[in-house]
Amino acid sequence: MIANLIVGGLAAGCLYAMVGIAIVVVLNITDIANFAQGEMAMVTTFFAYWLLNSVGLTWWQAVPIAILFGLVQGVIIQQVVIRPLIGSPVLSAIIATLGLNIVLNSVAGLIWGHQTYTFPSPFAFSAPFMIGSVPVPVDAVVSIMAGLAIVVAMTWFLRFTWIGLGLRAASQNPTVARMMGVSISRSSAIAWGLGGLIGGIAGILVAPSLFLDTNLMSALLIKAFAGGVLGGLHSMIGVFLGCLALGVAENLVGAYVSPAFGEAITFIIIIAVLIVRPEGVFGRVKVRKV
Amino acid sequence: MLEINNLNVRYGAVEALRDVSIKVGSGNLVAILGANGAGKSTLLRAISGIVGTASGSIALLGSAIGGLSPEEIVRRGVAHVPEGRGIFPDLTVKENLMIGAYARRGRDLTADYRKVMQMFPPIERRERQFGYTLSGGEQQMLAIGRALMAAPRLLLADELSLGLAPIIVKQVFAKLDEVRKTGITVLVVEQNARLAMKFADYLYVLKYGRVVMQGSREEFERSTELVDAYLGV
Repeated sequence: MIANLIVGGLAAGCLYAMVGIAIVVVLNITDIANFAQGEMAMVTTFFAYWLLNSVGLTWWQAVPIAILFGLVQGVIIQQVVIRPLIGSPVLSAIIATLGLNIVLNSVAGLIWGHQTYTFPSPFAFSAPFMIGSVPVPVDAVVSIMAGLAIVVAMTWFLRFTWIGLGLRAASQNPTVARMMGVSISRSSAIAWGLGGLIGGIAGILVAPSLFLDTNLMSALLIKAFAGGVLGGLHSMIGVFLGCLALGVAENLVGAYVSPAFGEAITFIIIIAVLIVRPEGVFGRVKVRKV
Repeated sequence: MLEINNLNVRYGAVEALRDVSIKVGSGNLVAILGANGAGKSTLLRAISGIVGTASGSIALLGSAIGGLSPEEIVRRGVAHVPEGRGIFPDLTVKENLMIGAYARRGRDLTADYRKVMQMFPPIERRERQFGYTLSGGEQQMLAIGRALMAAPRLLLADELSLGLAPIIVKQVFAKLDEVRKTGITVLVVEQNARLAMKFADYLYVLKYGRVVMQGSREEFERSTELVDAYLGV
């Protein structure tokens, strides 16, 4: 019983973590908390649904195309909405993402209406894996593997590629990064593209269990922020572990305390962390030498 | 190497630089002196393309670089050691050096990297440490090394002595002299006139964004009182 709850919590946590990582990548590189991250992922998921149902592609064809769409969507949004705001106060851009959140939601509503759709998953009806005596649903395994793969791939990309090095430099000191030849607007576009891509994967993986409608990602977005605050919004690994912890805590509290309390734990965690350790469990207070 | 004519830079209504004209000959070490807020950093930032210019021209080896992107300017051979060193705190020493070669990415940099490391033994020992763990002097050495990784023809150095102990400052300037001896032209900005006069071939004094005095080292040495008056010391 408890093992099942933990596995389920980890799978949910991995989905939060994907949205969390998408947010953190954009936040660290551009200083913008992207409140439209969830709605961007929702639009990507609807696009995948359209490819599946109207174009008639198989899941394995539709999903890579949709993920690519997520990337392109991120870059386009950065170019149209965020780029003109480079150089103005960060708050303007954050407000712009709040507006974008509403616009994307409304546009999706206009196109697809406000009913719910069943989003297919090739893993939904497979027999569960057995790890010892614990049955693990295949879709949980897929979520966990995808979450781990994203963390590993992103860490590799940021650590061992030139573009990754430029992104990290831009996040730490944009002016000096420019002196080195790093383009800030290009870094910002890459960050938004990556955010769109990773968020899209989360949307596609979560849609089969939540059903697809225009509010698909709203709960996930808040949980991703909560997990991020818990782990520390400046570290990708911190966000990942924070989201996993949140997923497991939700499941355990829901089962042993009260199902109604499972949701509330998110907000209790946000508030508690902000009071006790605002930089997050894995965060580190920035030391600046003059 | 570098020729600036009638350069004007504005921040909103503030005129940071007014009709500044400066020449830096190949292989020289030229110093710009001035008090706080005289426009020294702005001048270097304008050369690097970090701040836009209102009017005037900046030419590197005879071709105009005003209005180019910072990336293009680095590629043409201008490297910048920024004020306050600008070490990336959460990059390792190695990464801090490599980012200096960002505009040359894709090329084989191992030889250049080894050469820069050998030039700065104190940071060679700290290759894997994060930038924020370095002392001020080490950070300044790293910032110079980072600029050298761009394989520059012209090195811009902004206020190297800022916040460093006198003995460290001497070491840093000795390194800068070494850099110049490898054939790299150097343009430094400095508040410490005595220090700059020890190393520079030619000097300028900026006040309120204007060039108010210029001359060779010998000329400056003969008129130290005038220099002091301009700098307000």
